[in-house]
Amino acid sequence: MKKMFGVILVLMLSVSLFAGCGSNKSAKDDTPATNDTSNNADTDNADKDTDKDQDQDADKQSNEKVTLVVWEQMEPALQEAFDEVEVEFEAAYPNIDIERTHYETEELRTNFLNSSVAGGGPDIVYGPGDNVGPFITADVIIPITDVVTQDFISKIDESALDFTKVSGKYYAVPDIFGNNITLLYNKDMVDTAPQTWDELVEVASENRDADNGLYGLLYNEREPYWFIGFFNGFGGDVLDSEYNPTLNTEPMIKALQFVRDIREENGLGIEGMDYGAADSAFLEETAAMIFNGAWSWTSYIDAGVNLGVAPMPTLPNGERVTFYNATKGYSISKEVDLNDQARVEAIRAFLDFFVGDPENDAKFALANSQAPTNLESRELDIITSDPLQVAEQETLIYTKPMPIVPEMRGIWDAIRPELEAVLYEGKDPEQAAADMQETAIDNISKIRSNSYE
Amino acid sequence: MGAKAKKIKAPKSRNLAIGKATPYYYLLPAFIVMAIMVFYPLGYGFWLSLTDMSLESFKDPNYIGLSNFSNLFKDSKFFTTFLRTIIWTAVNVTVHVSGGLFLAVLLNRKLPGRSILRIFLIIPWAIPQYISALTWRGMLNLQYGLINIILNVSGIGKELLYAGIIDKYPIPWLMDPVWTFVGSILTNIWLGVPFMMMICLGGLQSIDKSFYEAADIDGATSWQKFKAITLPLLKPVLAPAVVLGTVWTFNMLNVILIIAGSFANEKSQILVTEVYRQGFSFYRYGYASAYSVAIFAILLIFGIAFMKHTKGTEEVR
Repeated sequence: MKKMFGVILVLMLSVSLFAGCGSNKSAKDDTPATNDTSNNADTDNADKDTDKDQDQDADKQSNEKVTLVVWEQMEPALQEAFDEVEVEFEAAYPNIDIERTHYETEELRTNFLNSSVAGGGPDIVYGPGDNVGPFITADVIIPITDVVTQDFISKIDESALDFTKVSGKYYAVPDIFGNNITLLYNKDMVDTAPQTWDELVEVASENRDADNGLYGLLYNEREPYWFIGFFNGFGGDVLDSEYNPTLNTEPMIKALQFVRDIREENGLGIEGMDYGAADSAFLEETAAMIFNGAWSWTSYIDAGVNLGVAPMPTLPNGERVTFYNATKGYSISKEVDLNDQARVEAIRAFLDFFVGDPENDAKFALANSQAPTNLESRELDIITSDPLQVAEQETLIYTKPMPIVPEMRGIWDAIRPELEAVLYEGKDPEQAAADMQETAIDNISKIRSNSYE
Repeated sequence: MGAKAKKIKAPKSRNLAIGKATPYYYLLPAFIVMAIMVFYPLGYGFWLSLTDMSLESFKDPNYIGLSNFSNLFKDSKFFTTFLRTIIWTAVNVTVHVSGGLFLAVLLNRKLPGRSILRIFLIIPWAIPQYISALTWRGMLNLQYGLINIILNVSGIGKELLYAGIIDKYPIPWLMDPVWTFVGSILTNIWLGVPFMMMICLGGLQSIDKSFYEAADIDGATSWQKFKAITLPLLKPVLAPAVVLGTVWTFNMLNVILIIAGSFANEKSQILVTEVYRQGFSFYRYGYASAYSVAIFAILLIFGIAFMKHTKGTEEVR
């Protein structure tokens, strides 16, 4: 008996080691999507297209106090903008409370998927456009047109909306558009931004004095997101119309050879340059040019860099290095009861206020130097007079939308090791492209199902 | 009278405090919490490993029996990753224990500035793992990393190259997956030694000085004292710490992720990072769960075998 008691105690103690982890996760996952009731009404934003009966129903329902739960993956500047707009929103809609919870990218995706299985989670989820693909496949979000009106849709830039389009339906309301990499240069070191790759090599070489730690061009050469611009520029597409990988192609071979030549032939950069190395050097003004995204611009300006922003130069084939653009936006959880008129009205009001209102959307765009998706926002003085906004919209022209389908994970994971092998192990680009394709096929077959061989 | 006397039974008590089941009642609240927080998620993980749960069947996974396990054991990559994980764990835990024990023995002696030294040695444990790993990532940079600078300035790097110990110089720590793996091991060693040092130091301070005094009278050497007194008396403390260290190291995700920068290059991955990749890159939740169950089984078998072999739970006589 004594022995058995001892064994049980030991078991309990051992297992308790893991209890902390369990309880934490559980607490996070269980963020409630409450639906309190109270009074107060606001029917100004009622859907113009709904019929009379629905309007009366909505009037009745909108008396209810609604708490909208929003899970987001926002950078600190965007969170600040959100809080500012939220105060105004809650003043305008006293019957609607917003509960915002922040998550990092992976955490947001996992927690939202998990909470959807449990039948809870947020009403609205905000994050990068490439989250939308997995969410659609897992059937955890609904088309936004189930909630918002055509009037609202027409306010948004169609090219940004197309990003979220699957099978003819839009699955997110994008509020900012960009996230593209472009050419940044230090105006104190470079007079005019190079337009062609040859010009870039010339300017970079003039500014290079490696013995004294000065570089003409640095960029995150090992990261596929920085490599893809060259592949796209040579006419490549990572996926065909059925989302099968198309990596073993001439553009891939050319792009791999080209990025290797940046160091080996053009004599630019440094071996093993990564984001940190390039970013620090540009901040410290020891690099004249860098390829980086809009998220980094304000940090350079704050550090005193005389920043110039320009479109990527053209490749020898005459096409520009074409990086991906992406959106961020709001999706609606499938757990939202569409018969709950008060909640649907609240979501509609929320989206109309946060994205449909030009000035509010402009606040988000300015917060992280990306283009607003609200077409009217783009005409506002605060946007047209902002040099970074102008630069963003100029460079955005030379980008292409990043596919949002889950298969992209298989593509990124396939590119990286082969890119590194070409850059650092001298692997033949042709062989690397072939191996990359094989890995991508394998990765995508795993992503699509448990299709076991 | 005595033979015929009826056996007097103790009256049944209604007081729970003295009943046979009493200990279980005391355990009940903890057991309920455990059931909700630990046993249920554990059981759910086992259940998932028997399903085809993926993005497409996320809400309604199908039961597929042991298919995930049979596919797992058919996959040659599982075994190469397992072998790499064994190397990762064995090297790390060995250096953690030997390094920790060495430092603990040093600190257990009368040294000038011992308490300050102890604080310095415990710093790696006190710094958040993420920050330490990021710092190490910077130190492993090819061009400006401290490690390569030291190898260069001291001339050790070139000596290693001439001796054929390394085939590239400067060492491409973050560019070559094998060197990335070595860099991750170095980082994890730095992170893990202080824990073992503290455990060993606690164990050393609990050893009665009279054993050493008796050994001194008998003329024992330092090595003899270490072998015959220190090590056996440290065993009850050290054995569970080694099991814990092995479990933690085997399941170390952060260091590999931060040093390697991603999970994409298979040559620098261990089993637990593969679980993450299968689950969160490829959304194969059922298959990832099968990986987790396999890891759990491996660690359970190791834990039981190790404790049994070392008799780590037994008292020292």
